[in-house]
Amino acid sequence: MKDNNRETILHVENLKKAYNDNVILENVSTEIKRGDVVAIVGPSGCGKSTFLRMLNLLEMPTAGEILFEGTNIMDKNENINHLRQKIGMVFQHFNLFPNMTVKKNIMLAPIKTKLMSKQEASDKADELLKRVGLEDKADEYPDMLSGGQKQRIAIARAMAMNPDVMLFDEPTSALDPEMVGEVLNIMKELAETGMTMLVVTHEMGFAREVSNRCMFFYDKGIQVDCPPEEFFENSKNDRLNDFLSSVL
Amino acid sequence: MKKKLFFTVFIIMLIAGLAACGKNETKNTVFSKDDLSGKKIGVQLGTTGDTYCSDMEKDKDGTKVERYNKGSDAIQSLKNGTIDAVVIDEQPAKAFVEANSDLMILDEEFTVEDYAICISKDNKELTEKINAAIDELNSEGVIDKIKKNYIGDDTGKYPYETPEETTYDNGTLIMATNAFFKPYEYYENGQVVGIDADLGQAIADKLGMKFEIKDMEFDSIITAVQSGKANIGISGMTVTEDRLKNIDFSTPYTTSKQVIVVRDNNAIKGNTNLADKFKNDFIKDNRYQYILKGLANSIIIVFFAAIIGLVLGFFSAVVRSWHDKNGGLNILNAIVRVYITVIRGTPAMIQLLIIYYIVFASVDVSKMVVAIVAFGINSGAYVSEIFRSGIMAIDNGQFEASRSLGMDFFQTMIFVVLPQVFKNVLPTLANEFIVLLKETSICGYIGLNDVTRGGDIIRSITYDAYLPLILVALIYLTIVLVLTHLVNKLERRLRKNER
Ligand SMILES: Nc1ncnc2c1ncn2[C@@H]1O[C@H](COP(=O)(O)OP(=O)(O)O)[C@@H](O)[C@H]1O
Ligand SMILES: [Mg+2]
Repeated sequence: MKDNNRETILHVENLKKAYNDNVILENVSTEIKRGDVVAIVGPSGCGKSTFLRMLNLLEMPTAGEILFEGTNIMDKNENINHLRQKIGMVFQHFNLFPNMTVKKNIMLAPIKTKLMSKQEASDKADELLKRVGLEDKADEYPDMLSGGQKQRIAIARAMAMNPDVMLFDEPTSALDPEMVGEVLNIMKELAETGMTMLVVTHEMGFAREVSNRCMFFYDKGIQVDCPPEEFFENSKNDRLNDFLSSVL
Repeated sequence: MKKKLFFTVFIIMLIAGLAACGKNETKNTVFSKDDLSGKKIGVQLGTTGDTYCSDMEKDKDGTKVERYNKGSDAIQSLKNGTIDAVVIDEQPAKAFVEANSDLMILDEEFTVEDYAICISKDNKELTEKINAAIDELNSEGVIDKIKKNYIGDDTGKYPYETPEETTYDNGTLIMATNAFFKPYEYYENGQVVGIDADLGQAIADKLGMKFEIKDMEFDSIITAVQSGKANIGISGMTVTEDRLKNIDFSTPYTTSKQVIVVRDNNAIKGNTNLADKFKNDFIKDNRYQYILKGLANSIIIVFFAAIIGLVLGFFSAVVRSWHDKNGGLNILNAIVRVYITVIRGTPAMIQLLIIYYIVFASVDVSKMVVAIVAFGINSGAYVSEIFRSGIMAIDNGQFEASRSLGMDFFQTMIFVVLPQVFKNVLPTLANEFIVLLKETSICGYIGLNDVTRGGDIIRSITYDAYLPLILVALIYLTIVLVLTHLVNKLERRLRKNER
């Protein structure tokens, strides 16, 4: 995936985020191409989540510009709800709706945003449940599922909107170790379908094998952004090498 | 559930029974006007008796004046021994003593005074018309006949009848009164009757107007007339300096005097058993109807007020959460905050009175509507805070997940957040409506016949406090228990949905 002819899906320019006077991120610029699988790593508290959450405006950037498929998402005239439909997000703590069955969780947004009819949403949910291997859990409530199952449902729920890009914020950090694999497998399968993905993760194996780009966040911005081979074997960045030796 | 109910009923009956039996007979110690000093005197709030006795309260002997909203409440307290004497107008005093063999009127009297009709100062034209009508009615002997029909040996022989040729082209004459003042105004078979009621009818007939009586607290009558809720007030009202400052009076239509009612030490205690009391309180003249109609009104009020409360509370809570989460909506949020602060910071009774006498002053709406609106607005403020804290308790991740899927704020609220909130706050919400139900017992202040006032009317007729009060208490208790039961059931069903 080295070719540079793929179209740009996300264009980030001089992005800045500050809470009051406390600057978290500054001068962050990057381009994400369609089909990119970006692993985002870095020490805790360096602003990885903040960066990801600004991409669908769960956090408002303090300054800078984000173009999603050519549209300035911070433009007040753009309907952010329409844009968000195309940007799926998976959270560390799943955030499934506890008062609905698994299938209802998946069907809710496509129906309420009028993306699909009830029948279409139901078919889509069945297809996705099969894909994440949980078709037998359709009528269970989330509380009955294990953490790994919950996260697979959360992925299916985000996928139901047919997004163009998927954001993952530490999707396996809240899981017991034996469940990490099942979620990473689903994500790997997703990557193989060509889905554009940005994944904040501490799973270096996943970063190395599945991603085509690794980003190292440190000191208010992206310090390293390169293919995984270079990232893990040949980096000249001391901070990154320190970080890698501490997590590997 | 049933066992609990029976147990509670049993306890209440027991307490009431003990209270009734264990009561000591308090001997009468007031035999003349001079004996009043240093005693506890009951009066009806805002009457001339109140004015006279309030002067006595200033002496150094510790005279104490207890002011009651109804004459009949003062009489009940006298019977119970809570107070030593009641100073009240002569005719109601006679009616009370007639109905209560253990009471008597002292021979010594206060000064003679005039009863007149009160009319708004802004309506001189009506005052003139009414004066003319009173003159005519006097010269035709109609007023004498009306009085004779209620006072003296020939009661019931001269019922007032509307002249045949009467037309009703000039609108409606609304009379404010406090129907706990026999023989001037009192309830009989669900109707307000009495000298004042007939006089009002006779005047309306003279003026060619339809006639309507609004029953309310005595101290509300002048306000009602001032605010236009009623055109005239006829309620055995004495002309006084203070009243003249706020209101105009017609020429007097009768005279009365204040008398002193005390317990009769020589009276033979009639031993009425509970069954007789029950018959007298509820069966005779279909008196249970007062409670039944009141109950229907109470339920209607609570039902619609709860709906208004839910809608208002829901709306306010959403506005405030929107403001907290997204910023914006500043003005709306400020309005909602003022609304919640004011409503939660003032008594429901004052709100009810304000809505009746000020907000709806010039609009003629039914009291039911007033009560529904008042209690709806009141409840909305509490419901809003319940919803809001319920919304705050929902994990922010729920909002974020929903918004990240492209659902807007309202879709997120309605389909994701509020169903969870509703389940969490259901017990608190149910509690709020139980409080609301009990709160509606103040409806009597605007003269609305709710279940509490139904009991009050029976008390004012039979002078028996125990059974009507206990029945009313039991009715509230039963509704509360049923409501609690239903809510528990609903709660269990909602829980089951999740497991
Ligand atoms: N709402 C907030 N208010 C103030 N500071 C915040 C807020 N959210 C995050 N931060 C701060 O921003 C920094 C970056 O947080 P985050 O993006 O969650 O880091 P990461 O995901 O890389 O661990 C942290 O220092 C955190 O304390
Ligand atoms: Mg994070």
